[in-house]
Amino acid sequence: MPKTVITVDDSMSIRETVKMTLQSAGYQVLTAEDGNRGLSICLTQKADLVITDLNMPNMDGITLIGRLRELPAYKFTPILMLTTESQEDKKVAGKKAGATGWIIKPFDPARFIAVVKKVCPIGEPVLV
Amino acid sequence: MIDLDDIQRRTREVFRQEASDLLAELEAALLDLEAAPANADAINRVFRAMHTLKGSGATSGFPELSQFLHHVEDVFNAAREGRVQVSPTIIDRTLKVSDAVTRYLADTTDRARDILTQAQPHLDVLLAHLPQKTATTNQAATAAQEKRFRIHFRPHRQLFQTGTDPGVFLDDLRALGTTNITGLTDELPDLDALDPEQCYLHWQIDLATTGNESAIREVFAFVEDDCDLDIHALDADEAPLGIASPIAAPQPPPGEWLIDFKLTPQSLAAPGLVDSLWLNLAKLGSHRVLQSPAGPTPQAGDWRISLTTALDEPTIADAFVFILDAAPVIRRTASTAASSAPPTPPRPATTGAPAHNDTLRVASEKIDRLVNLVGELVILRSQVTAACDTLGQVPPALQNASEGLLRLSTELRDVVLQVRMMPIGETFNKFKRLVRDLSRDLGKEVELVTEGAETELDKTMLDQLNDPLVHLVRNSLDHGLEPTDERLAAGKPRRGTLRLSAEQRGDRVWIVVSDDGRGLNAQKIRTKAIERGLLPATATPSTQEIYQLIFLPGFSTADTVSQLSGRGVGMDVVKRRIELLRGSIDLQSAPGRGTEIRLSLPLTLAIIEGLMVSVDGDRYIMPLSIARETIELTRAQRQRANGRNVVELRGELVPYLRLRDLFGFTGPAPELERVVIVELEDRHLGIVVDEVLGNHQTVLKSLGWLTRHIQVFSGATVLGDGHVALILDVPNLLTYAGRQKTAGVGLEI
Repeated sequence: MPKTVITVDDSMSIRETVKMTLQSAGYQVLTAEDGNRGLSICLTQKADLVITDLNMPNMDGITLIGRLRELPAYKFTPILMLTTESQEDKKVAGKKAGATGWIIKPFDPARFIAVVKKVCPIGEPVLV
Repeated sequence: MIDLDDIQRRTREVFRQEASDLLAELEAALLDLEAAPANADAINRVFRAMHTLKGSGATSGFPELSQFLHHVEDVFNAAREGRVQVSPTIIDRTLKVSDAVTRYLADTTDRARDILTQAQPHLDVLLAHLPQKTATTNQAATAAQEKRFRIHFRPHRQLFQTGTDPGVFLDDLRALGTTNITGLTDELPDLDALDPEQCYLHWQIDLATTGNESAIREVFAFVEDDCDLDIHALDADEAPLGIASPIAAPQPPPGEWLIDFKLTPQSLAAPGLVDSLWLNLAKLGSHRVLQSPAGPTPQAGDWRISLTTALDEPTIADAFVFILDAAPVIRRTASTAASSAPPTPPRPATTGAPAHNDTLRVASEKIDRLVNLVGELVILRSQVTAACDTLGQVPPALQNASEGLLRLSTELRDVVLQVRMMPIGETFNKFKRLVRDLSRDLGKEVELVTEGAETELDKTMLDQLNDPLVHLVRNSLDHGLEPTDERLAAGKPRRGTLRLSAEQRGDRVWIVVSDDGRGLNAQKIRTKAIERGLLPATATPSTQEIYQLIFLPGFSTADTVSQLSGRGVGMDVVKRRIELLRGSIDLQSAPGRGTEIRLSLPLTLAIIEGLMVSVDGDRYIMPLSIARETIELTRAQRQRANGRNVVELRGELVPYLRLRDLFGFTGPAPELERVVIVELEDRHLGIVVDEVLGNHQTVLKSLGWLTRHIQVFSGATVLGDGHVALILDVPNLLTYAGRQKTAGVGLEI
């Protein structure tokens, strides 16, 4: 059973990059372009990991994290936020809303996979 | 194995597409901002577009773009926070920056970077607007000498609420060096008091590592605020570390594996990456290095090791998972392969299909091909229906299949056409910039108003509309709208208004370009037309007719040939282009009040819903959308009307046109003819035919070059039985009939 990752970002490039990178590492990836869409996908499909941008139209990432944490199915699901260096305050707000961790953009695919594998291990036995 | 190059290539391509949308949005937001410099929403939009361009650019392999835009983003971030006032200079320079980025992305040569370099002056101006900021300092790395640390990691009770598994930090510590981890359970309550959603465990970890304390803190970065973390370095004489030996290989009989892989300088440069590999290998079993690289850089190059482990190949491959370019080849050695089960197939790079796509970008030629194929399918469908009809008694199975085919092909057609429909708003948005730049050049104040941006039109149509619209907009700006002083003298508002609007009416879309300028000068047009021999000096045309003269080839009214219009491309070209799209162009003007040019275009170029009629044995199709009803016309009625060619429809006298007369068919007319009542520009008109045959879905084929001057037919279609039916262009038909003024066609148009 491949692990399902839902990635929420208003930038198509980021969505596609995340998708291609994680697919290449063996994850199944669904994408959404804003928080609203992301939430509705999460409601219909249980994700093993949610990766969300913070600055998005309609529903931003922090609201999305908060809304997901209210759902029993997502109470303990790892959620990573995509941030830039300059968003220290957003990072704190995201953590407060229940985010598991963050990935700083721009990211290097190998490092990105490493972080994702860390919070959402893909297979057994778990290696590093 | 993961092909990073390929990912990068595809990413760059996707980014180029996205960037063009973002740049369009950026430009639109900037122009909105120019209209209202304090508009927080517009500032936000500029910032967001800039931010996404920068962020996506860096991720998609355009690091220099990201660097380039970084400061511009800073400026708008400062504007968001009220630290910087948006000035016309900022907007102007940002537009220049946006232009440079557009050119940069379009340039796939090595010179692309130069474009950004050349735009540096704009950046400098923008930077000058930014409040001074302090530079950040880099942390110096510490030398690598193995040190020992004792770490106490006590997560807060609610750790699990952030979806965090404390185990991952322990794993990360193991990657840093040699560890001895003790789980402490003293805070665990009695079972009845235990809340399974809380974390009661804490850990003490002794770690021997070449890293420093900040590397250890980095491991816990995600839970910095969710745990108590105590790290202190152990002196050499403190209690010795009870370092555990690597996990012993599991019970099943071990196999012998031969692994070839390579380490690149890049992977060696990444901290901890290669160490984690050796650690993972140690966990899998015992390994022996058979061959190590002898190149100039230590460790970089080809490796061959042997590994004894009971685990299977995918598990071994997992040890290499972080070193993406290691390209490991894992083989079981002959001695053990013979006695063991067949090796497990290698794990595919990707498991599971992508289940969901929000949008998909498809090359338009693929869709064009699809439309053509669907067109052919629709024709074939008609042929099947026609064949069934000639059979008379059709087997039920064939009848069902034929009906199913009808239903499916209709739906397929609708879906495919819908795919090609695009809102016209994007086209309109391009004009904001054009109007801004041109009005500045001309020293005129012009406001562009757009309406009906959501109106959808066929993509092909939109593409081909762009040039004619540019021409019309330029004309309005150049000739139509007056300079400010002239407007004020005429008692008009300072700012001229240029209006672009779109509206769907039935199966047509109206696009109106209008201005509140000085209007057309009929006298001037008349003089010019006579000068150029386009109008006899003695003619006394109506004002409306004079206006139509500007659509004649070789007509230009500009007193001086300005840099904007009057470059030899006249309104005749615009008219021809619109007509090629099966559209029509209509012009109205009031002196001193302005000019309005209306384009009427079909929704799509490919397929129309038609009404099939016959005249003298030939079949014709007219667009169903304009047909309202059909009534009967007896010979007696016709004779009674005494050649006036009107028929009474519920008290209204409706003029009609007999195709028989118009086309000069001399065969005997049936006793009972049919009048198709059509609605054109809010007027009812009748088209008299012999017979109305019914609805017909029609794939339009253009008549081709040889017959391009024929205006009464907009195209032709192939019928189910292989015959060709001509498609009537009703508006042009009426114009033609009016011009003919033949006996019996006394239609007042």
